[in-house]
Amino acid sequence: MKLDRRAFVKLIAGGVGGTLLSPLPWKMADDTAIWSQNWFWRPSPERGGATTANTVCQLCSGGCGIRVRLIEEKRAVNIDGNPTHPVNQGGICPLGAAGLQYLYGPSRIETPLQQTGKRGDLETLKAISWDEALEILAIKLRGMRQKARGLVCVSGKRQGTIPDLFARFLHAYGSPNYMLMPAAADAESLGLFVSQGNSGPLGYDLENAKMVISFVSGYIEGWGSPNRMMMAFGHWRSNPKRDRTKIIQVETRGSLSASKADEWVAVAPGTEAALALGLAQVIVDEGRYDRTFVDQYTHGFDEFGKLLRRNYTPEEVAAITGVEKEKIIGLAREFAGTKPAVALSGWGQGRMQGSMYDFLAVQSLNALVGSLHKPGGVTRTPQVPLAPWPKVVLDATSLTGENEPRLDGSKGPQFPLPGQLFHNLVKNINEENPYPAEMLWVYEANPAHDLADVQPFLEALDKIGTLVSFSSFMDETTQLADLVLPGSTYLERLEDAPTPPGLQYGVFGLSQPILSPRFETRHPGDVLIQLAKSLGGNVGASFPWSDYETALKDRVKGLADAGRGQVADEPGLQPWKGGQGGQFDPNYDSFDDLWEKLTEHACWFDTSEAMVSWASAFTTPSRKFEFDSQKMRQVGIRGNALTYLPHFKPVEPAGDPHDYPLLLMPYETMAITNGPMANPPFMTKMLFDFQLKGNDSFVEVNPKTAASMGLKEGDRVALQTERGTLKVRVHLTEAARPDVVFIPTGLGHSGFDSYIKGKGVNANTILVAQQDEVTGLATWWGTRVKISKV
Amino acid sequence: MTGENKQQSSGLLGWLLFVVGFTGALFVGWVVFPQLLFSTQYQPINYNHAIHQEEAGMSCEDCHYFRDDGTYAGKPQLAACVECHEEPQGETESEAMLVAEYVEPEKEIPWISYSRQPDNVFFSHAAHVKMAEMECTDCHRDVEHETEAPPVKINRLTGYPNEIMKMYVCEDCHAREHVSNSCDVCHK
Repeated sequence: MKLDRRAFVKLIAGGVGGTLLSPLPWKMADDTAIWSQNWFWRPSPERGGATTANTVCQLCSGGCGIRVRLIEEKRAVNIDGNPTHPVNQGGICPLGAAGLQYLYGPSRIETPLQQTGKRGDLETLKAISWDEALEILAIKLRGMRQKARGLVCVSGKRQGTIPDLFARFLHAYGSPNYMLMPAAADAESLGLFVSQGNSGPLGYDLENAKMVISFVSGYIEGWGSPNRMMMAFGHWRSNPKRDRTKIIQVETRGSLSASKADEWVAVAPGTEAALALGLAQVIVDEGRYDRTFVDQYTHGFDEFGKLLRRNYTPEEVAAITGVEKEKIIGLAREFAGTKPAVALSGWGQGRMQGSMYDFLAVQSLNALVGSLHKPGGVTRTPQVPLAPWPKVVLDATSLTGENEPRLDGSKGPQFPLPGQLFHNLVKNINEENPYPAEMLWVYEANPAHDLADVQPFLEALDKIGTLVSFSSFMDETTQLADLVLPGSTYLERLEDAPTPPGLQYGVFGLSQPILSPRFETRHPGDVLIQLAKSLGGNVGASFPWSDYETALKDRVKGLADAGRGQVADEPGLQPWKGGQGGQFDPNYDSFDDLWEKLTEHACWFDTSEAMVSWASAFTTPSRKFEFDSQKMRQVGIRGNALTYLPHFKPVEPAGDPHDYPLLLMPYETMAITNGPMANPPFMTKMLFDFQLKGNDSFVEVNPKTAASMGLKEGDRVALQTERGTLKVRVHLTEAARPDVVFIPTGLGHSGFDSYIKGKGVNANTILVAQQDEVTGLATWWGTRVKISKV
Repeated sequence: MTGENKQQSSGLLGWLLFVVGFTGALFVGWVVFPQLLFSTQYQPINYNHAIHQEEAGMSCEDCHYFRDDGTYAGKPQLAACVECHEEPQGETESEAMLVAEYVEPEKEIPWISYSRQPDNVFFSHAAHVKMAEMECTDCHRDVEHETEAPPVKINRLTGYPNEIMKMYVCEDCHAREHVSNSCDVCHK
């Protein structure tokens, strides 16, 4: 007997047959599949019990209440809207819902960093300890105390106790240069200053309005508090048909807000203010204005009327705006005839400063129909009764600092109004005029990407001795920093959330550390307090608190002492309906009780001062609403009669029309975040493939324009302005006028992480900002552009 | 031997070898392979289900309960044990171990799960127990009279216990009960 080849084959065949009839191959195949699901880099949800923590979103100024779902109180797995929060009523925007991608994303900064090589070189940004970092900064600050005015701080957050601590630090240290990133609120605040004597911000009683004319405000695209606006939109649309609120969108581009409005009035680029004045002219000319208000509470109505009759008749306005004369008359009659009606201003999401005169033109409409400080109209956002902190302790240096000229030139000889002139700041830093910037602090802002017309800012950095970033993320500005003091994120720290822009009632939200910091990050408030203490002297004495929480509680005591408002603890609260019948009376009995309820529900609100009376609303020299501004004369603005009145001031976009035949206008959308955060991957996924395809951005072009240039959908083109060139692709759409092309802002990051950067192009790099010679505010709604196929 | 005989005997041997290979493979596949694939693990503490029910008069839900939000808690946390076992209850070795190693240092007991579905399956106990009113024992072993915690067989390749439910079991039952078998019912 011999084992030959045939016998061996039979042995193997038997083995194969037996194996196939056993579970081995099938089980192995199945288990291998399961094994492959458990490779260590595959995400696996945390197991355990879930809890929900209420807090407030800080990703924009919208102040929405959010609920975070936590597993075993250590892993956040979901964010949704908090139904008990009156601002967003349970709604959530895409940015808020994607918040966990910031918390757990790879662009977090884990420790303080010091640049040991050339600025911008990430290889030489070395991790250091907090003690070292604070020591480095304290030494520098001690060393430059005699040049204290050279400390500049820019905050992307406009309100709140942390920005207040930054402002306080600068005040105590001796610098007048606490700056805010540019926004429409800058024009609003100047406009209110010259016409009403105070600086706002404005609250629009939109839920009660029956007609809304929006002058380029992206009312459902991120203007004001985005979720509140979505809810207001739902509210307008849910009204019974005969009573439903009419929405008019005045805008050059066929935006989402335009498409959802009852009517889209497509004006020629940059002529919205002319249309507003055209409506005003019809209202005045036909005597449709609110006589009680105009007669008793306005100043300069006759001068304004004369100007309207002279320059803004329907014929003239039709010629400027391209809107038919009949439409202008019809709109004006409807606006004056609908009670209450309100006009909105603030371009897009409110990130462009724009013109104070545009703001005044729109507000004059509200004044004429008596919609100021009236239900359904526009009022000042009520002051939340927070207790003031003790006065800043001043020494000789800080007393001098108070009187130093600001580096942005505001309240100076050229621009006497108290503005926030960021673009002028950049110009002055570049020119070291009137003195050099020694150190720049950046908090919750990313000017190296977000500033429209960004190139001069990048150049200005060469003139700045030290750049200090307080960012939690490796954004473009932080990449250029010399020292990084990373803050904990909004889910890891305590912070207040003040009344969001555009809201008509007061809100105090409380963001809470629902998780302990993931990394060696610290609360910026605590960092400032510690820094002040290590500097000592009057700066240390100005920060008497042991930590930020103590400082915040000191303020909140004011709420308890005022005995007003209530903690929002049930769904469906509608503060805009007023607090009649004690419905919104306080539901807390002491500070401790209030604080405990705030930590549970995260929101206090108040309706008791929703509207001020006309008799006390205005603090102008005439104690009236001033069409003809005496305040401007008072601060020393010189000009002709027109200067003091709301008027249309055309801006000639930068670039020779011969070389740059088209106009480039930026736009903002809810699917792309602007501001210090980059678009999280979840949101980038939402973009259409005609907004972002692969890594390509698109420019919107009218089909006729494209045809005349031989361009097809998806063609690659170069967009060239005086500032530079961007390569994008063409999207054909009727939403673009034939003479204008549109590009979204917010894309094109080069910082953050590999999931975020490289998506599209940054439109801010080719926009040209233009300065108003009276106010110093900058506007960048249009830049002349040349398109060529590549 | 003639050449024919040679051929015959080698043919016989061939078939014999075929049977050897066949049965050998069956043996390996059915007996040896499962032994190799699964490791045997023992619970950190020899938990006695019977004594808790019979002597302590506890019900299943005292430990295996639904949380307020409707999710199923599965195995109890140490806090549940501490309610009675702050001091040793009896003199068994397990009891002494429970108090010394877990209760006193406040350390969670690392119970090994007998049935843990893979991550790609969304399984809701609430849907099955509360809505469909199924009995625990429809899927899990009956532990009522169990005085010793049986060892757990853990799949060396996947890391899951051998009692995980396969998809066809889910589908069969869903089909019988006229419940949707759409992918997204279980794979969210």
